[in-house]
Amino acid sequence: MNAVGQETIDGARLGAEWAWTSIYRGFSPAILGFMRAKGAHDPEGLTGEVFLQVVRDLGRFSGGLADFKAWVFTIARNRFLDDRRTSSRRPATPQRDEFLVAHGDVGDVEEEALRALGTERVKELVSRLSPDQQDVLLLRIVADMSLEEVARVLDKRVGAVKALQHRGLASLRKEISRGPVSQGALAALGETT
Amino acid sequence: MKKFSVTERDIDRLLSGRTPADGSEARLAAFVGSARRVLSVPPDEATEAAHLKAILAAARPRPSATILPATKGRASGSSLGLRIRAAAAKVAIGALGLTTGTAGLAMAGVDLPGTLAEKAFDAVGINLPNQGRGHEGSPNASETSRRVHEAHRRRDASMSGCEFGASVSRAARGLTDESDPEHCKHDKAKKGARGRSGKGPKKPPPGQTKDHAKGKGQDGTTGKPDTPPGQTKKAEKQETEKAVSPADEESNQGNGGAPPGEASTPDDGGTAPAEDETSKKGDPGSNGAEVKK
Repeated sequence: MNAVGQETIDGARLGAEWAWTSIYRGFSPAILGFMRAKGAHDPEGLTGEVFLQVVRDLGRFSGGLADFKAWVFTIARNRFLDDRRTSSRRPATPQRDEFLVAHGDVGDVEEEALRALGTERVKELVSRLSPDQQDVLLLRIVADMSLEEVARVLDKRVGAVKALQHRGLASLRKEISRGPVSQGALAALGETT
Repeated sequence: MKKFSVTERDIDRLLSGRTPADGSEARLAAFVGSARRVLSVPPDEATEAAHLKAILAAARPRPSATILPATKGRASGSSLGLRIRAAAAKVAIGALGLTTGTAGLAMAGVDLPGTLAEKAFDAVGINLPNQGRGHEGSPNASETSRRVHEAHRRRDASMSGCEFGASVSRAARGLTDESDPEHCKHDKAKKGARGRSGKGPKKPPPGQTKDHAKGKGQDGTTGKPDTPPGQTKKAEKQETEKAVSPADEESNQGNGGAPPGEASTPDDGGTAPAEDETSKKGDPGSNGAEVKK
């Protein structure tokens, strides 16, 4: 995300290919990780939709780099909430094998399996937090945002974000320190790192 | 389990995957560090290529709309055109609404005030229904109007209200003979009485009610304003019969000087000018003899 500067945003306004590539590569890992940790059904698809909305709405955006980051993650969070609402209303349809092969991870099978296992464990632990605690911790950990930026994305006061952050970390610590699930999660995480 | 008590700085260290300075919370720090690594994986190449293709296609500047940074408040050419078109559409909708509303009122039977709306509709070949056009539609209207205007112009300063009214009435009916000198005798007599008393016209003469002085009958039908004081009812009747003439019908209306337009314009349907006013309006100014019939 450090590669994205003010000149990149200005270039993107003019439709420069290099600018959009830089923005995508700077933000997509964090947006994808946010979507995965929140348990989105199609994290990659949602990530693509987030960037398309950024393209559509960039003409209305005004502000600096910090504002841009907060703005992009506000869009990401809203897209996730929209997706959650619509997917709760429609029944899940199983994907065909061809689709799964085409959209599946490629590369080292062992590495992919371990990563998936780690992601699942993280998702499992994060899912035990309240939605607000999840948002705060994920934006702080995955998007590397400051308290002020998180407050802007969630439209909350900084004090409220601090309280959510503290309670979220306390809950995580409690979950990690007890039970076989947390031990398994730690083991899986230890294997992937 | 020990209570979770860390400083702000420790939280910052934990969130970046490092343990606090005192070495506590190692498991939590390990989890956060691992989560950071696991969740910050970029999309695979195929997904990235597909996303970038879609993004660049959407971000490509279109020839008609240029994205201009920091142009808040300045309208581009296309938005100005849109605004003009929107304003024109609003005006058109407003005009259509006004026209439809006017026509709707006319259909509902409302007699629209003034002739402007009717003329406007006539100009485009639309006849508004339920509008009073009797005066204009009569074939004799213009001629009668001309005669009445002529009579109005010829008004002499010495003419009494009764005489003027009679002359207008005759003009409206197309009569060319001179007025009956006896007809407005009572008016002149009343003028003389007022002159003698030196009082205003509102004061009724002795022995006469206020309504008589105003030219209104007690029962509202006779309209006989000029019964001399002390005159009996029989004498009044004789006087009335003697004075009955076609000219009287009109001359006794109000103060005898009806507005030219009203007195002269016959109603639609080709009736004789002398007949229509009295027969249609309940004859408010006719004398007692005619009411009795």
